[in-house]
Amino acid sequence: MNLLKLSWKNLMSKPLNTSLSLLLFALGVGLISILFLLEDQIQKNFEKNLAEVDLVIGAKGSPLQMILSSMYHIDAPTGNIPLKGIKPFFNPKHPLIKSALPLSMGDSYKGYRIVGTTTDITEWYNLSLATGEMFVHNYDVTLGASAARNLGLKVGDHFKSSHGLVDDDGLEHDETPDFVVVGVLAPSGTIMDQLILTTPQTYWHVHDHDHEAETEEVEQGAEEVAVDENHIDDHEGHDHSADDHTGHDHGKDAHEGHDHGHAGAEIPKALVDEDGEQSITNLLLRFKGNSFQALNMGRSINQNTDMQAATPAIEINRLFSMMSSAEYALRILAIVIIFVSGLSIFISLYSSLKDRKYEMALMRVMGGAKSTLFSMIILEGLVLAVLGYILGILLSHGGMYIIGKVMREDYRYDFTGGYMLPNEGWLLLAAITLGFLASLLPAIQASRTDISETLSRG
Amino acid sequence: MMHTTQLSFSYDSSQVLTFPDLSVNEGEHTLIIGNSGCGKTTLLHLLAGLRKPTKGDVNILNQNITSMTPSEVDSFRGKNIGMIFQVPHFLRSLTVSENITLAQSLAGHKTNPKKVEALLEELNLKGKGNKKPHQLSIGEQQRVAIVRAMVNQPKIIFADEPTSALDDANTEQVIELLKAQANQHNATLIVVTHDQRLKDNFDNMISL
Repeated sequence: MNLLKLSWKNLMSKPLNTSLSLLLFALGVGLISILFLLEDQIQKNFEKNLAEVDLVIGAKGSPLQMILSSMYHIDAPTGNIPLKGIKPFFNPKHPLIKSALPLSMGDSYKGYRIVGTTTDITEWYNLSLATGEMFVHNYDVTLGASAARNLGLKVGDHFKSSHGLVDDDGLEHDETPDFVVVGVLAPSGTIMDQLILTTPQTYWHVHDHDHEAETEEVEQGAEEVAVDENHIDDHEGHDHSADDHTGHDHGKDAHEGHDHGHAGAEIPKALVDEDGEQSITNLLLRFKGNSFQALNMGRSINQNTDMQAATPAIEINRLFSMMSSAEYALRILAIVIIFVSGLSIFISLYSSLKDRKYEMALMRVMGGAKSTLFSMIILEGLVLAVLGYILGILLSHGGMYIIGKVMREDYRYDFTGGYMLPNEGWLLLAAITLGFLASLLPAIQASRTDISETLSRG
Repeated sequence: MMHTTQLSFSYDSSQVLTFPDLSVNEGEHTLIIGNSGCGKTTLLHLLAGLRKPTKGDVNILNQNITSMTPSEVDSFRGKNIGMIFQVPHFLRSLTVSENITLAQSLAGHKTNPKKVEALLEELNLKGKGNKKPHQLSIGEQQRVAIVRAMVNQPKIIFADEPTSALDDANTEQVIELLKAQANQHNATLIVVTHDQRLKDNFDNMISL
């Protein structure tokens, strides 16, 4: 019969008090731990997708929304921008810009976003192929690892995209040619795992075919209308030019591609050589160095053009500072719960002392020292704290597993409860300290039990 | 084996309890008898080292327990003294067996379930080991208390009013059982009581 076992038996003889203390303790620990996990994973997810992007250019709207949609693929895009405004940024001799990556967005397949871009994206996000190759022709797609796995697609498979970013059969582009999977990327741990990549020109062709959907797009916000009207004019221009001018014959080719299947899909030109009236959604920029002029470039774009420019670092910091106040409030709540749970351990031990006074005296009679009684009560507090901690960690990691599932379904982000944080080690230390403090006073009281008087009273 | 010299104790300065010098030899079961309020229980607690006397010494097994540190007294008591009270008390969260093995481990001995089992059987408590003490009858509980007092092979057993709650038949039975157990384990039994019925059971008697 060692002390730990004795403490355990004492706790178990009061199951209601013990479970209340445990539950409170577990809730407090669980809340703090899940905050740690969320903070860590949100930060990691944001950081690993930064990809050294210095500036994002897109249609006017909320800069945070633009960053979230273009770099994290969470929110809806702010709209489209015409190519003519951004062609200079593709010039390799640009004094400030090291490289530029175009993104076209707005369509999806079963909830997975289709992004029109160039194969430069492999260099931006350090991507490598698992199977097949990068997209070359229009309607070729290269899939992110998770997208391929979850959609059950492999090289050679065909599918049709749908308009919008949610899974909705009614918005399927059923007049367009099939997309053909030509490659699957190796997992990179970035948002690229969740995307379907193709050429920007594919977007134009798809929407050329799908005027009905285009009209719907026009009805979205005022600023988008301007852009979308361009887009529509541009498409109409295409239809004419496809008939009349050889210079714009890619539209016609696309029609042929539609008729004859993938074999006819063309290899698109570089975007700089495309019609300036065509549009893309965003342009990601990397600067040659963070010069004053580079910093000014964003401001100049915002003031002098119909486009907006936003710096990812600034917007993400803004987002974090918004989140941190909510997190702060939750952390205060967790600390209050933990404090109350400590109080509950204290009260439950202290009140049990009264009932157990005679037992304490008996233990002394049987040879137990004052320190034995002290240790027994401290152990009861520690056992409660450690069990509460374990329960809390199970709660938070289990909760994180469920959050992770929801996040994967809704945002295509990987969250997991399957690892421990160093902070959780500190949390254990804090829990043990709290358990010790809560049981200290009852333990002192127990060790001071006046045996003779207690026994005399019976 | 036990003697006291000029023992006195006071709860406050106005009331001082003084006790006659006692001397008990090994194997001499002794009855200390006195009326309620004359300080019997106080004397027993002084003898068992549960209280420190204001003056005087208690010598048990040639050791002056009054000069020991509190933890030395606790350890000495656990190893050498068995105690039985008027109403048996146990740790509610433990079973009968666990209460007894607790006495072993608190005295610093290895727990020995076989010995506990044998002792329980000796006192007609076979099969009660896994019950909680409060599930037993009061007579059975008193016998468990005797097992607990005996389990560490003490040299001396103090019993505080062990029979005052019992009828004549049970009184006779318990006191003979105590004496028999004490004899069997070579312990000296010292009973403190106001119960006049016990006079005939003891050769040595000290009146307070």
